[in-house]
Amino acid sequence: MQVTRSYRWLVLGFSVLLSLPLAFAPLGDHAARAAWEKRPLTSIADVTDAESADLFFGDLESFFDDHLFGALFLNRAYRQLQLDVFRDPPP
Amino acid sequence: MVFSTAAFLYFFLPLFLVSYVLLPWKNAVALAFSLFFFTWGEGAYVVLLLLVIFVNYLAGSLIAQTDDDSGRRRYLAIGVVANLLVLGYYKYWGFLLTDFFGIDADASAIPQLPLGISFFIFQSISYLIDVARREAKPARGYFDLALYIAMFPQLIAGPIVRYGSVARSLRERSIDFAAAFRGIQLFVLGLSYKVLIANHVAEVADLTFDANPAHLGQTTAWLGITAYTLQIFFDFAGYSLMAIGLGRVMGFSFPRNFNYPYIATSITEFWRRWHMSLSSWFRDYFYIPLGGNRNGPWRTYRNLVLVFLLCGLWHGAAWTFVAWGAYHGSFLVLERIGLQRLLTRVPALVGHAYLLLVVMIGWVLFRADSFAHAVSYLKAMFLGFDVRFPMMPAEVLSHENGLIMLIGLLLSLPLLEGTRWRHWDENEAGTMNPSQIVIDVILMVLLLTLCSVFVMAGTYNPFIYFRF
Repeated sequence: MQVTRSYRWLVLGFSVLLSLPLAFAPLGDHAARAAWEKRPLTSIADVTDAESADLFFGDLESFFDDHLFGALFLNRAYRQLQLDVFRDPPP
Repeated sequence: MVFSTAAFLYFFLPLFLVSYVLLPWKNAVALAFSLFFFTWGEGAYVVLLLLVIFVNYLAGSLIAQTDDDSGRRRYLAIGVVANLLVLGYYKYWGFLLTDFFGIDADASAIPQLPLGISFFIFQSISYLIDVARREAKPARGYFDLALYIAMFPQLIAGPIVRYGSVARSLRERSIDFAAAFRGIQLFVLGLSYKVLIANHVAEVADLTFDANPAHLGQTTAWLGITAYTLQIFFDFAGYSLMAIGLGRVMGFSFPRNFNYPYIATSITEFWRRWHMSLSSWFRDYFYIPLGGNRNGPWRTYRNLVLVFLLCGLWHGAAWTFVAWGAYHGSFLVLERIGLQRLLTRVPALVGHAYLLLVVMIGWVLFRADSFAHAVSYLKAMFLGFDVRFPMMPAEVLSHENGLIMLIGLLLSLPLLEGTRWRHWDENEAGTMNPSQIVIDVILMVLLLTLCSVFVMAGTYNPFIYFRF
């Protein structure tokens, strides 16, 4: 397969952009998110305890969902937007 | 795994793209990630997928090696029947037992539906038929066919790709900046269709369809079906765009699947614009072999109804889907008989109104849980129930979703055509001047950030077409 150098840089740049929320996940304040959402966040799935592959991957998805960098800020901003701009009550 | 989940967007996709760009043996990387993608959602069913590929590889090779027609037809029949048996067992066994024969079957006797089985089985059948017709050469190796059938962008919700259209790219392809940029653009657009529009209008559709139709006001019932009409389009067109976009980034060209279906003025035209890869599959592998329109009007009508009965059944193992297929088939027959000629003589607005009315009534059948539910919902739409305090539109439509419905209505029209933004349209090839690239990058980052807000907020995220 022939690829150009500019193609490589474009796709790598796009990949880096997409990976930011997970790459910076360790820097997120997960305790603050758990407190704000009033629920415990999912802990990382243990492959040795998993009953099946799909259950393990399901748990892993929940872990990713709960530990994304910036999720707390974006969630708060979105709820604020719903209240202030759309005047919609919280779900 | 669903394209609009955090796991796919922030973990799987970047990991795949980096590996695809940096590692040699691109096909091996693409196949390995495709199998990983399927295993993530379906676990051990990956073995079934590999087995289906093996059977088709074997059948394809035997068909290609056989010179006489009858031998080729025999191997083709064996291959097609094997595929249909797999589809029949995993998708229709429960329906046959419970709905058809009325047997009170134990849930453990009914297999779980593997994601995308209808898509990869139809793709496999098209491969065998194309090889038998000498329209495509057989795959040069098991891994070529495996990548064609299992390639993750189109594996679980299409578009249904023909082997002949990607065979060359499987062996040799070149990708440049422009193709990848356009691919990323289509992916972001598709993701926005799904996350920003389909998921929001789905909340309105679900609230109305989950309510007792006898409690719905007439306006609310119409609002609910309008929301569902938008949801199913943006959900499926969004997924198709993401698949086509990722395909381009990988160096493949997948067929366009939607072309503004709601601007059609007849059901015949609607099916030329809606899920085009499925329509052309049924046309080439079922309607034309049945005789198409070559044997007089009655045979043509029969063939149309048969095709659409199967099309309905393909969408789901339930009588409501069969009825939906028969309903569309009947309108195609009516249009053939003379309705189409009549529609060409009236103002286009009447044609649009006719199309939307017929399609929306059809979507009630498609969305309802049962016939009784569909009939009650249609009664709520057209006659209304005598209820003192009916459910009002404000109870199902938030201001935010109202705005998004309006945007959805506008985006279901080809408004970008003829504007400087036309390259964002799925149908356009795209322009590549530097200032436009900068503006497009800014737009893409904005859309991605907006999508991230909703992905991270963990909002409603079903893909309607996954169950097919």
